[in-house]
Amino acid sequence: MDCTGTSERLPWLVGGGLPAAEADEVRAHLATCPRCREELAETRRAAAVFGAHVPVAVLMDLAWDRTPSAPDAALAASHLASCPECREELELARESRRLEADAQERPRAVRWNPSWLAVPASLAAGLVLGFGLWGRGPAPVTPPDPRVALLEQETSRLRGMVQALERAASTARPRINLPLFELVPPLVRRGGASQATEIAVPAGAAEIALLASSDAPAGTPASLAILGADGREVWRTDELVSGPPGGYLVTVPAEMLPAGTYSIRLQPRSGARVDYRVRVRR
Amino acid sequence: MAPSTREDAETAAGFLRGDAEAVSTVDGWIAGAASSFRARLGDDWHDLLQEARIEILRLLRKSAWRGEARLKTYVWQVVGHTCLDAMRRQKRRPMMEAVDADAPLPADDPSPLDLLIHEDSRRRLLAALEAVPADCRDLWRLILSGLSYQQIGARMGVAEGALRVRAYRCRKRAIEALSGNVTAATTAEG
Repeated sequence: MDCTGTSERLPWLVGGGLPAAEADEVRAHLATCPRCREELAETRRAAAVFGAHVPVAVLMDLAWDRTPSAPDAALAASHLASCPECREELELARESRRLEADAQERPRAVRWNPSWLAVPASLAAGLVLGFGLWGRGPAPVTPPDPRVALLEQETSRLRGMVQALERAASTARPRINLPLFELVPPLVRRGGASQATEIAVPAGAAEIALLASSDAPAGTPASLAILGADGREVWRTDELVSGPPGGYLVTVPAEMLPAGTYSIRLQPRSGARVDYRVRVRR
Repeated sequence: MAPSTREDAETAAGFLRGDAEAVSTVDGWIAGAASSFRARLGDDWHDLLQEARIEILRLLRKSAWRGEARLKTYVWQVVGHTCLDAMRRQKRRPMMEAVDADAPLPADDPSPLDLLIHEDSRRRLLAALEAVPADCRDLWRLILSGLSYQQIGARMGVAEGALRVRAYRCRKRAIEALSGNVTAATTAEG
């Protein structure tokens, strides 16, 4: 393999996605080529850039309503808008925090304490003697069964799950008056392709539903990306599936879409991509 | 945040001594705090509980908890931090080549200077990432997730050769951004 072929494959070597045979070829070339080894070092630096995420400490600050330092806060806000992984992590941290708030103080369990065995010898002897006088043996002292600790750990885990379920149950309510907006493709939109679909978010709405009509049969998978006016990805899913009547339905938190102009790209697995332009008003 | 109480101090001291009651209490908090991460961590969850317990023990031994918050809240935050760290380690597993076997192991207790340098370094990485085009970030996210260029090419509808060239250009953009030579993100083609 020559330098060009090696250089082009380095990202996949670093990412672990290069087939074994090609990886062997690349490594063989690297062993003899100092220039490509420098390229490998550069690729690793690039991988460090592309693998960067909001630090865990900053996510924890956000989850616990502490204000991170100014540069961290700005970088985190920008990164979170385009990184689904960090958003998921932040949501899990917030969920954990909610569990802490919900957790009730419980009376502490009385557990086996080995120090209880430290009964004065004289008392033990006296008991043995006493029981002996009554013609009985001493009561056996049962050592703690190690399975008890495992069971208690499992009990703690189940308690946590119950808390999560109770919380979910307490918030699960029928939702009414959900604002639904139908996305209109540019070609059929009144006013021409440059006209955006207006989305007037009602005051107090927590969520809005976006419906993209489609001829795709029910169950057709698709990707959908919401892009800000600057082209930056606000949110994306590759797991969208068309519903029984046809069309794709997405419910998004209203706060995810501040006032402004957005592009929504719908790419059905089979079929042409459809670009929608929307203008969100408050 | 509510300040700690005398009971908290007793629980912390008891946990350090290995008192069964205190250990049980803290274990319950650990399991509760980690429960929201259980589905995400899968088989690693039980190891995580142990890791969190050791971390709390380490922090309490070095008096890192100073009583600004309730002990339960503190434990909850340590566990959340530990869980997020574990999730990130899981995601990094495909990046076998990125591991430098000769690199020194990080210290358990880095010095304040080490922490400062680390903070600055990761801030620079994140700032550089935010300066590269979104399509570059998307492409490299797939690369670092361990997908082959054949898989990525099929997913994006791009010829394999063109994809490798695009990844190369994005790599250059990232290095430029890291050097502070990029002012605005455009696209990988730009």
